[in-house]
Amino acid sequence: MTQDPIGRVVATELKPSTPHQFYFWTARESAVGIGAIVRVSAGGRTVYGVVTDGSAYSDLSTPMMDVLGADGDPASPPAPSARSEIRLYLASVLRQEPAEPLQPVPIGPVHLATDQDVALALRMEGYTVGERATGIPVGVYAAGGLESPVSLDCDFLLGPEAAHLNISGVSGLATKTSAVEFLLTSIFQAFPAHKGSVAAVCFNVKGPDLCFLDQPAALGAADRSLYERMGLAAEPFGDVRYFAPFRPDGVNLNTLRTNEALAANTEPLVWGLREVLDFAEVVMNKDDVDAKADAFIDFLAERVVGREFYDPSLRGKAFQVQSFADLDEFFRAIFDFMEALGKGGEVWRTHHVATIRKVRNRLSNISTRSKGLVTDDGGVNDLPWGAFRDRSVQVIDVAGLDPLAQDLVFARVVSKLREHLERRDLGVDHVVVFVDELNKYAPVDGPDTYVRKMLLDLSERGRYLGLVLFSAQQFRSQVQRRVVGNAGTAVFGRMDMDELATPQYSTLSPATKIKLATLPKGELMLRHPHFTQPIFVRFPRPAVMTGREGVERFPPSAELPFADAVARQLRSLDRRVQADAVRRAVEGRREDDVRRALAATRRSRPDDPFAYFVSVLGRRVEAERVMSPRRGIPAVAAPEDPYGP
Amino acid sequence: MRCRKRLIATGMAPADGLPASLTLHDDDAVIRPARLLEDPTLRTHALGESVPFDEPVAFLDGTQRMELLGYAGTAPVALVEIRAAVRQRVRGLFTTAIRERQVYLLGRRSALAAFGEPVEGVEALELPEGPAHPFRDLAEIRRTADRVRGNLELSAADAFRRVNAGWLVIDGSLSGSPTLAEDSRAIGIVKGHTTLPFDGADLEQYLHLPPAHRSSFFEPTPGYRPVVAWALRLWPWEGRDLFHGLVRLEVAPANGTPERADAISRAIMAERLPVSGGPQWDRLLYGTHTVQQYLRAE
Repeated sequence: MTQDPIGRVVATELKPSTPHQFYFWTARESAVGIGAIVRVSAGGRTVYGVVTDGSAYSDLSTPMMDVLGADGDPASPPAPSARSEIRLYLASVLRQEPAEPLQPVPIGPVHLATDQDVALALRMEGYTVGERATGIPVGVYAAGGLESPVSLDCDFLLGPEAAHLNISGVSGLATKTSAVEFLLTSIFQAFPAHKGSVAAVCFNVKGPDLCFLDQPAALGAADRSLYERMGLAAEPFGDVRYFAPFRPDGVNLNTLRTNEALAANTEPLVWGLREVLDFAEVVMNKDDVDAKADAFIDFLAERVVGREFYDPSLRGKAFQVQSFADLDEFFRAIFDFMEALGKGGEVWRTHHVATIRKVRNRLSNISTRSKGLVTDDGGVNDLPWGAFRDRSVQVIDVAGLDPLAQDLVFARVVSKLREHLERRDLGVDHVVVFVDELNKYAPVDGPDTYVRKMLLDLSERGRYLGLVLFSAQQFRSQVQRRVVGNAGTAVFGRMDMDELATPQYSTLSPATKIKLATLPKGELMLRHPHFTQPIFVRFPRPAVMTGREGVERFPPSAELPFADAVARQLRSLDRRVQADAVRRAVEGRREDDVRRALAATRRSRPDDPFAYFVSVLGRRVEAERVMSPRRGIPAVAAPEDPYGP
Repeated sequence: MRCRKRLIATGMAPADGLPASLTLHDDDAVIRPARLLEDPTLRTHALGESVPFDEPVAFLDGTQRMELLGYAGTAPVALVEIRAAVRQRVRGLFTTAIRERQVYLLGRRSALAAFGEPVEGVEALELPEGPAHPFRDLAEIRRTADRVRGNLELSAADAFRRVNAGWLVIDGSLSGSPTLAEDSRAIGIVKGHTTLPFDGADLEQYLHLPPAHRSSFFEPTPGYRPVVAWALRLWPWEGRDLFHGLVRLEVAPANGTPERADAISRAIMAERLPVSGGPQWDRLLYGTHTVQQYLRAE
């Protein structure tokens, strides 16, 4: 509070002070810049503001005077005197004390904000101190040699007051992913006990971005100092589980996290018909989802799949539809029956043959395009529904999946989270769902897909359930407005100038836009309900290994031969499993049988996985030796045959 | 237009209007012959490239503001605020080293008596008695204000000199002050030319001084406080006015050598930049301009 002022408020008729903004000038060498927080104390009123624009001009009356002075030669020697120059800044008011009556900013000295000023300016004193503090460190405000921790209010980040976070920024600067990784670290360390438990579900949609959250990063002293300043430990996540679908061979995982050293917490994501059928709508376009198709899918879900279905007109024995293969057999029986009817055979149980064919095509399309995610044999390996642990991260690697399958994964996981949170039986009270490339899932234009509707619903109602969306995209303007608009906290990394020219950014000053367009790595602009103006903060590198480092340190294994891939899967359950033994066990066996045995082993998690696997695989049935047929008795020659030789 | 063409054709110097330096007090315009100190006859000396001062330099100027408060009978009473300041330039940037301010209540004795006790911080100053005429009194008030302003500037110069021995550039003549007239680190810049030092052919040579040239140095008013002076052309004048960019420099006799005159002239030539702006930009040095800005803004 005793520091010297760095400027003075000026107010003229053309540039007056108002309750929401004021002008001040500074010395040339002042540390003030765009985004700096300042304090004005005068007349019993203290005003905190953030610098949003600046200008400078000299006492030069016209440019012509400079030309005259230089004799028209730009290279003329410099003058002995520097022209008098003003550095005039515009600051937007963050807070006034007293708040009422709200008055124009008084004329007075301007000081750079101290730690305490920053806390007051951002209203952090209301949620970062006391027994029931709810502050989540998000970075440090850095200006004039000051590094003041800035915290978000978890009541407004994870609910129930407001929720969700959206981050925008150009690709390639590692800002979006890094910021979310750091913020998750901060949430896991600072989320207060009285608010309950929290976990995260992250969708890795491209490359190795989120593939090494459990591995430590080599941080420099500057980053460690930032962690220390915020009271956080620079540690990777302690409880991370990775889920990735198989490649089409059904045994090699479709992820960059295939190095054997990472196998312990990397497991397959495998779904069956039942899991998919509930979300059939995801894979159907708007034209498909008519009342007839909907009705037939409901019929399948309620009467056929997972049940015994008997229709003597189709075949003599009941259907047991558990897998896509069973379902296809069921469809074939219907078509055979209808074809046999001939004329009048267009309808089966009130469902028209065209509707049935359409539903069959779409469903079989899923199993084709999502091979590796969806099994034909009914084996399932899923997220630990009902057993989510506090401060755990589940990463679902869908980077290698077809976009349709990505939609399916996303829709089903979020829906399941919602179901469990509604029933309060997920295992945690809050879940942060991180989705990158939000413009792909919730575009501003394009078809109104199931995923987009679901994201909208999540953004509008998720906070009451503890289901929180952390989303990221390159261009905020290309995302459905209501989805990003419902994010209580908005974060901006370096932005593209074209994007900044869109109407969504019209409230930002030109100087703030320029700062955003040139923002260095590790700096962000924040909007949060407690902050009346956007604030720039610096955050440290996440304490987890980057995707690029991770791939270099843990190079993905080459796609393994079938038997070796099975051995690796079993070894992830029990390190003692020998590859040679597995090779011998699966040699000559049908791959479908092996996959089925592997799925069963994974599902059961027995004490001795290999023994269990072998037992499920069954005894080897030696091929039956077919004896060469005994020679028959030669025909008796009939010499009296008139046609004989 | 035909007249202007004729004028040029006859070899006369065309002008672009009335000289900005002309204050139209034609009764003040005089020629006081000077005594040449440098050359046998008046000459011009080319200066070559300008060379800025290589050490801190300060600029002194003053301002006055008069407000006519009213009349006691027919005698005017005026409030005059006088300010003076010295701003020092270090590494191109100016800071205020000295500032002085005085406020006077001016009027005839009878008028001041009618006003009563002057308010705090205001000093009463009587005008000399004479025939009562409001216009005459107002002119006397202006003259008195000029005088007290000069005194305040000298006071500021003394104050500066007590703490700083560096170059001091003063907007005006040095000869009014015995101290400054002998100060070898003081330079007076006289922008007005109501008093000219030569007549006839010498005057023409004096007023036709080419740019970046100085005249021979001379003693402006022999018999008065001795200083050394010369004319310096800061900007080309042809096509504009005889007085455009013309200033008279005054220094202490100790600087009265050709080498010192050249060196000081080159340094003042460098002070043309940056251009100060305003109607007197051709003669007003930027350093002096910043003092005026400061005094106006204070």
